[in-house]
Amino acid sequence: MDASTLQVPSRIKVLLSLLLVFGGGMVYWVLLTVPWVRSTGVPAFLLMGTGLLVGVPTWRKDRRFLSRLVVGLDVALVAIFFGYFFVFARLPAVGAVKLGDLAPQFVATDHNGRQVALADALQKGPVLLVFYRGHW
Amino acid sequence: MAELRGLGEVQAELTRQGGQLWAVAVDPPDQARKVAEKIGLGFDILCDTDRQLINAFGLVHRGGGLDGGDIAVPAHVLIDQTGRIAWRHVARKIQDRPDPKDDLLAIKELKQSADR
Repeated sequence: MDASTLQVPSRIKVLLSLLLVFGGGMVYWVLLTVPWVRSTGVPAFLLMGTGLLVGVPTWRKDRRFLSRLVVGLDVALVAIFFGYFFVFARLPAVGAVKLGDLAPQFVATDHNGRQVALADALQKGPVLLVFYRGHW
Repeated sequence: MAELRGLGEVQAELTRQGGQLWAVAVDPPDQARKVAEKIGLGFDILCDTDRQLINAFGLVHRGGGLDGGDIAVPAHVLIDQTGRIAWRHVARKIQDRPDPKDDLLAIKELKQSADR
């Protein structure tokens, strides 16, 4: 028996790499509620990176159809994720209020239909406004 | 909207100081109510349907909504009792959010400087 048959078969390795890459993407969606994961994407990048480290060297040694297909898929998935994370998700620069500025005064309607005024709330304490992107 | 869930402690600290946490979205009240019920919020959502607030605070993402409407750039803005911006976090990417610990720190610092 020669040494190569004792090693993990390349088809297992490439499938493992796809699982890691795919898992990286899934982990990101599942952990979207964790602020640092959402902002940095670190767990996703680690898993995807590991997936590529397993997949690409295997493909370099074994250029059969399955390796080419799966490792190609790995690279495509990682590219899509990078594209989403760094290009699509970029927001336009806005001229937001700055530290030390006077906050604009406002009266607004809350979800119960009540009118609320910033000035009234500030009489009692500080106010934190959390701007989010709506129900979706 | 999921990030609103993580703000319980932040709201508690504000309440201790007599303060208020307001979430702001361009949703109409019935939609905001659904969000509030779904995630069991202890604070109010302001319905900025006419984009008055996001315009005033300079946080408009033109055409950023799924329907092509203007929506907010995700941001947290802390206003102290003198009406000034004491701390803020403005997202550069859709997914950027401040760590609630940073919100807490900023709110506690307000208290300390008020006590001094």
